[in-house]
Amino acid sequence: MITTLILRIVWLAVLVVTSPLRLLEDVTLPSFMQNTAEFLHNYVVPLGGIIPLTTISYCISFFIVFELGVLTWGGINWIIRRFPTQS
Amino acid sequence: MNKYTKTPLKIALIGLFLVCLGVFISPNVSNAMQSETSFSLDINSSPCGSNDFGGCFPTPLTGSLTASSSVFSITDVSAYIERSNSNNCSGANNFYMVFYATSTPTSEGDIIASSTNAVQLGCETASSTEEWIFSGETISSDSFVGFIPIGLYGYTYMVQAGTHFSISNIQGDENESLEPTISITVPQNGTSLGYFTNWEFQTYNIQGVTSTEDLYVTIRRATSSTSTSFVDDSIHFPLLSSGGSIPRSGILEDGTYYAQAVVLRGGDDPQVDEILVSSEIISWTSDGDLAGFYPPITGTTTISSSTIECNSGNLIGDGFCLVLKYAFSPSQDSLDSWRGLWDTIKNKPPMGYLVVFLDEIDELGVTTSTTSTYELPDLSGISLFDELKVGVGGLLILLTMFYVVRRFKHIKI
Repeated sequence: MITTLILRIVWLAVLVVTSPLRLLEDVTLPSFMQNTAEFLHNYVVPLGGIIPLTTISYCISFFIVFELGVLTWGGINWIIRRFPTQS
Repeated sequence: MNKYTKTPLKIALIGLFLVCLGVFISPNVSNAMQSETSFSLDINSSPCGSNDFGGCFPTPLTGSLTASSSVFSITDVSAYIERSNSNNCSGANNFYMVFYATSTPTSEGDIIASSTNAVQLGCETASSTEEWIFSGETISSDSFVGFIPIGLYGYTYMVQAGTHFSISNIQGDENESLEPTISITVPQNGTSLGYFTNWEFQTYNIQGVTSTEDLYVTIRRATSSTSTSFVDDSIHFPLLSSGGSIPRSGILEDGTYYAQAVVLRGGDDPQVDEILVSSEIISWTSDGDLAGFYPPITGTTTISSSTIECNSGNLIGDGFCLVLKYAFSPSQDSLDSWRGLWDTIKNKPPMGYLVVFLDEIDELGVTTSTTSTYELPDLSGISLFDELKVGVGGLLILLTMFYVVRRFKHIKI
């Protein structure tokens, strides 16, 4: 009961916070970016026999997510420091 | 204000930031709220209303399919039939489920038991409760819809009280000019998939085709949910078949996989033969257990609630166990509510841009393509290159970890 209640409350909170997002359309990359990726992919694939492409793509993805997270965190802190009572 | 009181403010600002960013970036909010033209009709039970033929004869279901559509599709029809009599259970006494009739099918004269309008359910030799699931059947809009179990010869009264039919979904489209579509589905809501089996596909209104003899359905693997590249790893079967298993080639690693169904004319090679219609790309996740030939694949995230049994025989102990179970064991409903939550928002702005971008990056890691710009000699059999790949991959992971550690030292919170 207790765990169920906690799960329900958290789920409801998540639902409320994300409800505006559900109204939005799914995003797609611009066609030129898709074409570029496809073009790049076709050039890179033959090198898969000698280069660990999967590992490289995971590392790049991790790097992007990590740096974006740091940037977002820094941005939020910067905004908070704009409040007069914050330091 | 100490640092702990800032946390709610930070969370609120993060939420506000995401919402505002989403609103400003979203290309067209109003389009997302437009109504759809499709409709559905749910019928959950069929009262057993007639004894005309000696046994309990379920009242035919006549759904309110009176819309002006030219094509309807009945999906996920389940028939549960309990029988205690196996008389004449052979050959022509098989049961049939009528998918459509020219009038309300209440008597034998109205029943259409041809191969196209009725589905043979088979004739079992023992009392049992069974389930049949059909999909992809097409009916005419001018017809009533009825579902009647019959034995062809003499109505041998094999249907007993307790029989019920469940039609979970009848759906169509009010649009007269239906576009040909094809979709593939996998079991939902806690169904244990094991391997990627038991999937179904449905086809609607494949235009300009008078015969299905030269049509094939091919399930092919894609490299992302928006991909135009496909892995040369597919399964083929005639159009009227359904279900099967996705074969694999090479080693499947942990991760998300994608598949698309296409209907082909003239052959089963999507690179050569004409593609009449394609489904949306569906995805599933592999847990990486490579036991057996087919990889275990789950179509949906299955979260199971606790299955603690309090039956040790000790009265006090079992009592405590039950109390603790009641207090702390989450209900299945509360777990189910989380299923698919991420999927509903992952492609929404702003994080959707990151998701689709990372999908494209991941696609670079797919080492198979049918449209490569150039080709290198096949090096897969040379162990030196395999070892080189492992070494370089390990080095990259080490460098990434080193980078993260160094980076953390310089982050100013």
